[in-house]
Amino acid sequence: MNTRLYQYFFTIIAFLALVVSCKHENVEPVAPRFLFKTNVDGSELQKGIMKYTNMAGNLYEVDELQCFISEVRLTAANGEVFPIVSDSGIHYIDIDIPYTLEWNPADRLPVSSYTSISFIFGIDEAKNKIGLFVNPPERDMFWPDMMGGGYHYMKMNGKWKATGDTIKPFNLHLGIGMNEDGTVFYQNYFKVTLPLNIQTTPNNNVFTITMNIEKWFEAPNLWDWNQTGGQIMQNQNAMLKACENGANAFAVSFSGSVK
Amino acid sequence: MILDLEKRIVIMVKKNVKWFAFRRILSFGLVLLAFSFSDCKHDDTDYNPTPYIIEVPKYFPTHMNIPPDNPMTVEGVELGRNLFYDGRMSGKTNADSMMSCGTCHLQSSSFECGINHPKFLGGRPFGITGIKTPHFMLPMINLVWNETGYLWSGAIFEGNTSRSQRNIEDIVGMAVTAPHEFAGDTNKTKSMIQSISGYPELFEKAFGSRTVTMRNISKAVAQFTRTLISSDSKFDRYMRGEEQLSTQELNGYVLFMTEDGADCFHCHGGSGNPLFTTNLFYNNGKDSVFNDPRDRFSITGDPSDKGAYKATTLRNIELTGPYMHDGRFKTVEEVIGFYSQGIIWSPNVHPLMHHAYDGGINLTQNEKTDLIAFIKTLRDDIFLTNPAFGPPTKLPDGAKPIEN
Repeated sequence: MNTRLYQYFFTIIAFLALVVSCKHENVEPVAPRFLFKTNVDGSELQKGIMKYTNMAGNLYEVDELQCFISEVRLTAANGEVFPIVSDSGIHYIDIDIPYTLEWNPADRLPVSSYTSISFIFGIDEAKNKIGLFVNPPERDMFWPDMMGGGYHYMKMNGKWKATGDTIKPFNLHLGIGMNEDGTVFYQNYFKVTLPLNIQTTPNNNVFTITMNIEKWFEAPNLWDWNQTGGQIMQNQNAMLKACENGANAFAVSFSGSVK
Repeated sequence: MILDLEKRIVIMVKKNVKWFAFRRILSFGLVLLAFSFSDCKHDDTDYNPTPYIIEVPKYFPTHMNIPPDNPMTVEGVELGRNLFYDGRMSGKTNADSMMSCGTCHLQSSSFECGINHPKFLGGRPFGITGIKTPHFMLPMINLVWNETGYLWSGAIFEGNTSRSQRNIEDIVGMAVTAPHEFAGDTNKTKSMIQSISGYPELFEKAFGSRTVTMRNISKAVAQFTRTLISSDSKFDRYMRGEEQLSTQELNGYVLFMTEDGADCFHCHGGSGNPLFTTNLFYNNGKDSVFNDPRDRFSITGDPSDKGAYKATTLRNIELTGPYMHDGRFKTVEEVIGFYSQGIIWSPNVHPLMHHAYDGGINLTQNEKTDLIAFIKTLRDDIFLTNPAFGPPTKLPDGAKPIEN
């Protein structure tokens, strides 16, 4: 090719690049918004009222619920994965603190169709170290250092009607587990993956993640407080069963901006 | 010159705007600008306080409860320290009618009055007129990190609809007028402080004006109170790797931090929360009938908060008896005994008090001894003797500060 041909070629390439780049700039990225809700088999949780019966027949109430989710990732139809990395990629949820029920991370997603969302319930071992949070309310989730340290993945506090109609407190607390002599530790966090079939736009950007509390007590492990006892922080077997059940406790829905 | 500038700008923009309106706005803006310049000039020459920087100890919170309208300054803290220990804060000068914050809040007792106080027998303070305080005292430690409300019920909190009940500043004014404290009058207090030589100069340095106001009195005392930081107990040094705990103390630490042990940490903090309180409110199973008009329920209206009170910090706890809002326990040993075998179950007991149904945590005598040994590692003698927290040698006019 002669020099003139090269000049034509590069001019066309430059023009096309400009067009493509301008088009790209005109597409506004999506600001994802996450809302967190809790229910009991579809009905909004009414805390502090002993009105729920789990599959094992325990009448129970939930008084407090605090937890962490982290490592949220959205998978696009083309297989590309978009992680949410702002705020250390960790979000704290407390049903008594309204601002924690919404997360507006600084991350931006491309306008695209997405086929799934995943997150870790709890915090993985890379980040779950004491000192990660020094301010409340996250700080108050700390997990004893001699039991593995880091932070509770969840504190669900409530009461149930035990055998003999006595009311007893329960504390469904999850975090790092350990064996009886404290020589082996177990990372009990778990990954939740939920399918999506959505198309994001700047105005269609709201992911609502809902926890069905009853699912913590159903399957694969029938949860009977009379069998497990009310407290499980030092009962790795019970924590493991709870985590297996918890993996089924979440659902996601997608909608446009909520004012 | 200002008018020339105004004229030029008006000429420049009048093609595009309704220039009469613009001219009015511009004139008003220029007048405001002139005032603001003259104000700045005054500040630069007469008022230049030094910022007081709180160095956050390792593992302590970085969020601090300092109102935007009362930034910490060296001058404000020093003024507040003088006022904190000046008995004339009551607005009176008779020996039997003088009272200050320092009358009841003793540094040696972690800023409570202490159970062995010679005047406040059994650790129950009362005001100038003899009226007892509704509740026993809370220690004044690390209050700059309290974001959930002050007092046993958290009645003084940021979002309070009453603008006069939101922070430590407001508690100072309340102390002056409360019948069970100074039983005074803020105007008298203000006039009294204004009349004492040396104070107007300190107010000028701290707030830019020699005129004493109750608001500035309150701000200064609040600033001093926010400097009262305890972060150097034996346990702090253990956490920093500077000192080892004894076997007995370590045993107690494990009990403190484990759910199957004494499970103190969920409410009182620990390695992950060096304040040794969540600053939250719990019904800890002291009673089964709840009719205190000053419990947490009185603030929230939530029935589950009946009989709930703030979890106190355990720092220096061995010095802050008697214990609980009503001072029912005289010693740490009595408190441990209560948590071990004396908890009363009721529907209002917080679910974190999971041992309640069994009457308590049922510790053995050895476990109780270990737990108390650990709790005593939270004593901070540096805090208790720091001269910066104690009374000044003399007050601005040379008078002697109140010191019990």
